[in-house]
Amino acid sequence: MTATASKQISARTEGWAGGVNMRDALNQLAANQARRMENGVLDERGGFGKRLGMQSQGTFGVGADRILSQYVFYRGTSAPQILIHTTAGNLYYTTDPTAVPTVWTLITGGLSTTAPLSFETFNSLCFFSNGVDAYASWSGTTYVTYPTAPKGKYLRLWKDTMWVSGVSGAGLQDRVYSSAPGDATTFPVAAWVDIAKGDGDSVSALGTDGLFLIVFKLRRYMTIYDPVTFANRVVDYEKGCESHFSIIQFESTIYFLSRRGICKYVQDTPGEFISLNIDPLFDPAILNLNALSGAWAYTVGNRIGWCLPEAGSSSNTFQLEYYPRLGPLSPYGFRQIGPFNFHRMPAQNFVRWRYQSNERLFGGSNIANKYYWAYAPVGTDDGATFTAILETPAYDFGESLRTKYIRRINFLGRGRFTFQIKPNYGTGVSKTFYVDLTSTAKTWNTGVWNVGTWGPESVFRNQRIQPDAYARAFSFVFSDVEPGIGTTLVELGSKEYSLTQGEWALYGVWMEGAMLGVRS
Amino acid sequence: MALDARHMPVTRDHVQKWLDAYDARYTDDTQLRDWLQRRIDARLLPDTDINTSGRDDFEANSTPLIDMLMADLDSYDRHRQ
Repeated sequence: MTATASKQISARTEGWAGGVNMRDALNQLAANQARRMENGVLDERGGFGKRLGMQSQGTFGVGADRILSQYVFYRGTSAPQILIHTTAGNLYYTTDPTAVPTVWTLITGGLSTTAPLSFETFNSLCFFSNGVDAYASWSGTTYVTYPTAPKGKYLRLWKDTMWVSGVSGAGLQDRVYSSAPGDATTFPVAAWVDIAKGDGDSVSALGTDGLFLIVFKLRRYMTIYDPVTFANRVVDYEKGCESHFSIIQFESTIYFLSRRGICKYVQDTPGEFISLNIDPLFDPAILNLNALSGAWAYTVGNRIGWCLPEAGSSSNTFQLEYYPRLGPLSPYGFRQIGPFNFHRMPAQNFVRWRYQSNERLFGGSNIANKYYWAYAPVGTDDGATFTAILETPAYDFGESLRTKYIRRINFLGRGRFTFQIKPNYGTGVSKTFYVDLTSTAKTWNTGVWNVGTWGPESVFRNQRIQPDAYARAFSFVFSDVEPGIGTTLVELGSKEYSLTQGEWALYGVWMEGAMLGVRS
Repeated sequence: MALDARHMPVTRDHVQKWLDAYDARYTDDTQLRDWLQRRIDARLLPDTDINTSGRDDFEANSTPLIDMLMADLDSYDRHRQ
């Protein structure tokens, strides 16, 4: 926060590239962080923009059905298929998820209605297992079961071999099975190993960085480093992984959800927490610890997300997104921790699908038997208006005890939103303003030649208000109930591309006023 | 001779067929062990061991196949009278 030393003061915000900070005390937030963020994106570094909405692609099954797990089965040059496993015990596929309504074809029924399938692709087949039903494969047209294969909850492909774990049975909670090398349909009788046998924990997830197979339990994790002898070692004695579906690789790093936060896997050394600024989230009073096994990771754009369940809910109710590329660079050229923010999209799991010129994020609804296109060019979530919220830190202009008067505030942004002032670290709102930064097109026969500018108005606009506000410290809340969408511009040299974005975005706030005395 | 656990001719398919064939005839694991051992011997050289040098839960560098099979019986569909 830049402030002048005279009685007249002016200051500006420093953007919100720091993301949400739930951990630090009210008066300790960094200038580029936010106390609250929801339903917004940080793609334009330093700015905050309302996200796009969810478009329904139609229904599947009957009203009470929900998607337990889903997967994109890429098939080389053929169109990829999306497979969904529902709470009706049905496994469906579609070859065209962009169709509205999407047509789902049944692969098989009679599967578990609670245990989600884990999927892997190998040898042009999609393999899946959930620890209850027979391990099986799908070729795109033919469904085959392998009744003698180990029925494990977790599959992972490593070194051209299928690895299976999470098999039910006395003494099997530590066991990891291997298929024959190069053949995921055959399991040699002695191809298994117990990892940290009898430690009182159970295998909860399998991952891989290509070099090792990572065997996660709830309170620790190990790696198998030799696929022939199954030689293994402990990597982290202190933290484990809550959900097999929370493991995701993005660019050069593997991330996973542990009991106390999101971690980065570091080869051969204990993992590192990256969710430090949102530590309070991982509290049993906020998250349903008993449902964390269903936590679900996805990637969209240049960020990673996790669907998580709040306390009192058995399914995922909100999303946590992380921006690895927005982490600052250290003096040594290493990328540091990036920002987090939250969403409340009505979905409990997602897949990222790409085919020909399309790339989309699709989600399974947590409130209906619907399939959604997430971040679609719409302003509502399946017709329901949603609110984006940004609450800034409290600004005291460098003088905590003296009262300040804000005479004018200037906004740089786009779209329509509501602006509120919260004085003195309180929760109450003292002032509310409606800000309209939408642009309009100039029309012929209005205005005067050589006065002002011609052509359509800029997408990004300024607006000034006079809040006439007094306080020692000011927090600002930006929100909306707008159902529309907006646009932003990306300049490619001489050409401008207009991209559909959420209704509004905020890039900066400038304040001008006066420093007063100490009020008795 | 200790075989690599993943490159051996006895698979879970074989074991499940043997267990299914023994269905309703065995009464305890000692009899089952002997019965399975005879079938293993029909497919492998006698006293063929598995290389378990990389596994912390087996003390020896090699372990008889029948011991590994018996330790994993609970992962199969077993039928008892």
